[in-house]
Amino acid sequence: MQEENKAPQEKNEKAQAEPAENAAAAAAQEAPTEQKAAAKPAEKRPTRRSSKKENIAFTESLLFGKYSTKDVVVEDPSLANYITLTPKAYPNTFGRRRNRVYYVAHVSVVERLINKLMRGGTGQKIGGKVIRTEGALQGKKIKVVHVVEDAFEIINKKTGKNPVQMLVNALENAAPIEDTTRIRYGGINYNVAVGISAARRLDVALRNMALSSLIGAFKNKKSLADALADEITLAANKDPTSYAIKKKVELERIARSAR
Amino acid sequence: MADEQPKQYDGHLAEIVEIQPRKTGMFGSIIQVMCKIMDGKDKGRVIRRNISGKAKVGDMIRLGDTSREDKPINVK
Repeated sequence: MQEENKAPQEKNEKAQAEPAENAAAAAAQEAPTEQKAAAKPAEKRPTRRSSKKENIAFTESLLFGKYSTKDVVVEDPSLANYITLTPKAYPNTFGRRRNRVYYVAHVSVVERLINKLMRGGTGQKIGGKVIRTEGALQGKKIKVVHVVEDAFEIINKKTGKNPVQMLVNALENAAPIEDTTRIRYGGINYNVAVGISAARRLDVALRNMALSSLIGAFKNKKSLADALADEITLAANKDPTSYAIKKKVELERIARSAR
Repeated sequence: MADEQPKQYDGHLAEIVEIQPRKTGMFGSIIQVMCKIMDGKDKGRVIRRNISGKAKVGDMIRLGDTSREDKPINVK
């Protein structure tokens, strides 16, 4: 068995030795061609993958694919903790953080405005009239996303400024600082002034902003997007005709008298 | 925005230092906090105030009037 095993080994050695000498001369010609052939596919793969990654890294993510939120400044430090500006082409978090505490602090302001707009009406009579939106908007998020997108485009065309910055300025101007509450002493109700926390200030401002656009578009030629654009531009310039600023002034006037 | 002057907001800025564990108000919607005033003539004072809405320590609020102070909650 040992001899038989040795024999093929010797044969193999001889067989390898003979072509090795021949191959040495041939390898000089073939080797560089083989190396090139091996190198080419190795180069292609990483470049193909990395080019995709580079594109993602260099392109800035934009809101609606149009507006950057890099230069947007929130000047009021009390609202700055609660205004987030994560830019997305389709601003929707699908309610993922819904059950966590302070989940609204992680949702972008634009999406919160969209959520506030998703309602069938104002909920109470305004000026003696029941106000309904044209086609109830509850549960129709995509429809409202397009409304807000149109409104931002109108603002950008009219003023030439970044609509996200305009929205932030409008919210800062429309956020109230004082409110009233009822307190009962011995069977008599008193109205007493109280402060408002930062989270609630933003809630109230957003709600008034959404309500005003519903009222503006009710039984009118104006579309919902037009009414929203008007409201944002008015509130950003601190115009007293804005519904949200009217409400804020009224709330603070009552609170001041009840101190 | 950088060219314009810094904006003037009404009220004085205050930071929440402590939150009382008990709620007040007719429907339990009001909380009582200790807040440190950040600007104005009462700067640095810590006062007790009732506020509505959700709040946590470290939040900034705006107060219309810094001179008055609310009563502590009486527990029966």
